[in-house]
Amino acid sequence: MVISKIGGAYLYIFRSGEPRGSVHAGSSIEVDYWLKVGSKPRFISMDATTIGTSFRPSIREQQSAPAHWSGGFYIRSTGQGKLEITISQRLWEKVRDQPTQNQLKALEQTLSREANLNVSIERVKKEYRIRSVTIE
Amino acid sequence: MKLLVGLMLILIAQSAYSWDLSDLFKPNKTQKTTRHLPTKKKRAKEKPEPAPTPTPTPSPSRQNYHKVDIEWMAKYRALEAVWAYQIPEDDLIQFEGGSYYVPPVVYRHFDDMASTPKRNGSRTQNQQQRGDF
Repeated sequence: MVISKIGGAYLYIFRSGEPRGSVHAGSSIEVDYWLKVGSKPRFISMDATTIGTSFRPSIREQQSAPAHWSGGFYIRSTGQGKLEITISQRLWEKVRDQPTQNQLKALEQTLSREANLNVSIERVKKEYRIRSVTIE
Repeated sequence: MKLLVGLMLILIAQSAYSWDLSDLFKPNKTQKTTRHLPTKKKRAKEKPEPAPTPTPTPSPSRQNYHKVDIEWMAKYRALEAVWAYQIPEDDLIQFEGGSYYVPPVVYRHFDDMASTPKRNGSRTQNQQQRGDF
């Protein structure tokens, strides 16, 4: 894994294998990932340019994964019950034709094989909050 | 007669005296004073000590910068890791509004690494064999 920090933007790049773990921003934001990296490198981008250089997320690699999860990204932010997540049209096209009951699994598998994650973070009253999430 | 001889002697003596012009052409005996100036020793110019390569300063305007997306940057960092080849201009990369701005040198560095096929005798593998990491 390669970590790139430019200004307030962190970029976690996964080059090969099947990386699994979580990225933490403060105590309120957690992004779990489980990726199946092929020929193209994959990444998680954390954009905190509005916060500045004090933003320091941490990453933890894990071995085990929940059984009910097929991979991709799992985003949690305490204090934000509803998060608007944007999935690019290109990814959605790949699961749209699946039967409804299989769409979630197909989506997770597609995310784990192809998707990249962009998370934009802001600070509200000493607490980090997710401003936008884009999966493409 | 004696008087005449006496007069002649006097005249000869005077003329001899008056014709002595040797004093007129005597060389001046004024002493020449020579000033001894301090000798200027030529000193060898001191060579400036070699300075380390200066870190390029970021330009306030992004005139020649290339705007790239995050996927490009991820691939660039991955290539740098594969080749173990980072350049000082990486410090000039900027991030703003969800996009990265890279100087032309970085852009060319990406092209060089992407277009060069990875071979067995590559730099990274040689370093790994020597245990440089």
